[in-house]
Amino acid sequence: MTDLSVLTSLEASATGAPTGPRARRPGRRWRVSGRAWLVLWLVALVWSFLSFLDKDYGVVNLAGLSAFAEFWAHAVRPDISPDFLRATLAASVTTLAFGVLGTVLSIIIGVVMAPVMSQTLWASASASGAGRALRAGGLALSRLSMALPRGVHEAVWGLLLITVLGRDPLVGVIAIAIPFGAITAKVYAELLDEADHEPYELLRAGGASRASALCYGLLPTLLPSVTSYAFYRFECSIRSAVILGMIGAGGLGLQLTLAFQGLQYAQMWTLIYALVVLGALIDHWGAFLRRGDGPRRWQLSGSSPCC
Amino acid sequence: MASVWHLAPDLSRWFSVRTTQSLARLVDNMVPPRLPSGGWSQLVSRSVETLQMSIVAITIASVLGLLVALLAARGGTTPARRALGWTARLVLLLTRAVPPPVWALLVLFVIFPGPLPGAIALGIYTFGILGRLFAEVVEEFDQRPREALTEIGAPPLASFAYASVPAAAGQFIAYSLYRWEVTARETVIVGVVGAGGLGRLLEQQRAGFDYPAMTTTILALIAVCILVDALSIAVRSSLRG
Repeated sequence: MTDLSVLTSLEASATGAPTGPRARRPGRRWRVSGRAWLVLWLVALVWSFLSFLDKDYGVVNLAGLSAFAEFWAHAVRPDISPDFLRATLAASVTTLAFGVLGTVLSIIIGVVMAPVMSQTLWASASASGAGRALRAGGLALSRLSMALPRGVHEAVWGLLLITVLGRDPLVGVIAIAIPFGAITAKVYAELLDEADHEPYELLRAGGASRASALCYGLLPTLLPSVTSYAFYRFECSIRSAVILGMIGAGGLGLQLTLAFQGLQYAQMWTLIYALVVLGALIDHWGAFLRRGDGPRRWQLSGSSPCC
Repeated sequence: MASVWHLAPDLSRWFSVRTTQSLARLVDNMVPPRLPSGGWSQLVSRSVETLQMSIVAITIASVLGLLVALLAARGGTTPARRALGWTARLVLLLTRAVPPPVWALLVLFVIFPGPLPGAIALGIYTFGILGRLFAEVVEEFDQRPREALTEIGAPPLASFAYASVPAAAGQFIAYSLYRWEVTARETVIVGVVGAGGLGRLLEQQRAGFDYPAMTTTILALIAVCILVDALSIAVRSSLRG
């Protein structure tokens, strides 16, 4: 049984013991410094608002109010012509396909890169100074190489890829796979390092290579956490796929942008309802897996942190 | 497999000479990075704007989320209460199903472009997510103190505020901080549609083919995210005591 909040806490860049939101309780010191943080927060908030409102031409654009009202008025009469419904369905399938392929690719990246990033692989058997320095350097290098793809938002990757490839459907897939693959690799590497190493050490002592010792000694115990994190990533991918669509990769996001540019309020609402249905499906599917009615191997516990 | 078939990717395009060339050109253009037009002051003021957007957004989301979460939590006994809970959950679903850029485009109808509409858009979206997370927290924890207060005559809102909120405050704050980190990253996607911050700068630079400056902006974005992460970790560790 793997608690998803513990899994996702592995995403954080800070090293140290993973602590889910559940693990902390207010201590004695929290009163004083909690209040200090609160004051700091309020000061920052007031400062932000004041600088936002400091405009010569005012804040509220009354001229746009009619368009805004018209948009909401169309909520009850979306475009339900068969042609547009068919287009919406096709767009939804495209968005889903982005999510599926993006997840598959990021899991492949994760599985391939995780051993490279883990201490398990780089742990030196010999104690010689030069070998140890080389191994430490290798570990640091592999971790650094995954920090950049992780630090840049998938939308930025999407923008960069579009300048290279144009409006190719695979832009959406790759833009999801780059940052998500790096995050998955990090989480899987942490899982590897935290796992029980006894079977692995035994296999190594018996003469197995590092790779086969990993496959037979560590992988079986890790499988539940690995699959549950993969499903969590899938939920995140679908949400990202919509945003990438808006940048121009295609799918529901692209249709929404087009409807917005043409001020087709009725079509916008059809697409929004499609998004709501998609969102509800993802939520219920995640909740279903987490409740434990699903196949035992995929069981997740804990609430979903939402990506 | 069905996904591959549906997208029908044209792999030959990927390995074509043209793609390789444009990738090489992009990399060549992006390195070495250059300061955006306007220099450091532009970069710093945009970064500060991004930070402010994330602060305003997460505040809107947390406050609204807290208010709606107590309606959305399951476990209502009267039919009216249950209908209210159902409506609240539907609102939360709608707000988080629609991505932040769409909210930004909508808010831009009524508010002049700038960081404020971006912050509001992010706030609405994050409200949907935080509201659901808060509601799950409310559902999970011990109901007895609240029920006890209601039984001795306290109004439902007061018993929620005095019995449930203190017990769950730690988790609420932890979730809010976690979402703040995410929101800081997402400021870029509302910026792309013109709602201020570093994202808007990035989009302007992309439209103007100013690739060296784009690299700088991306580095600034990473710096802002690292700062927010560090702050969030500092608050968490001081709360843990």
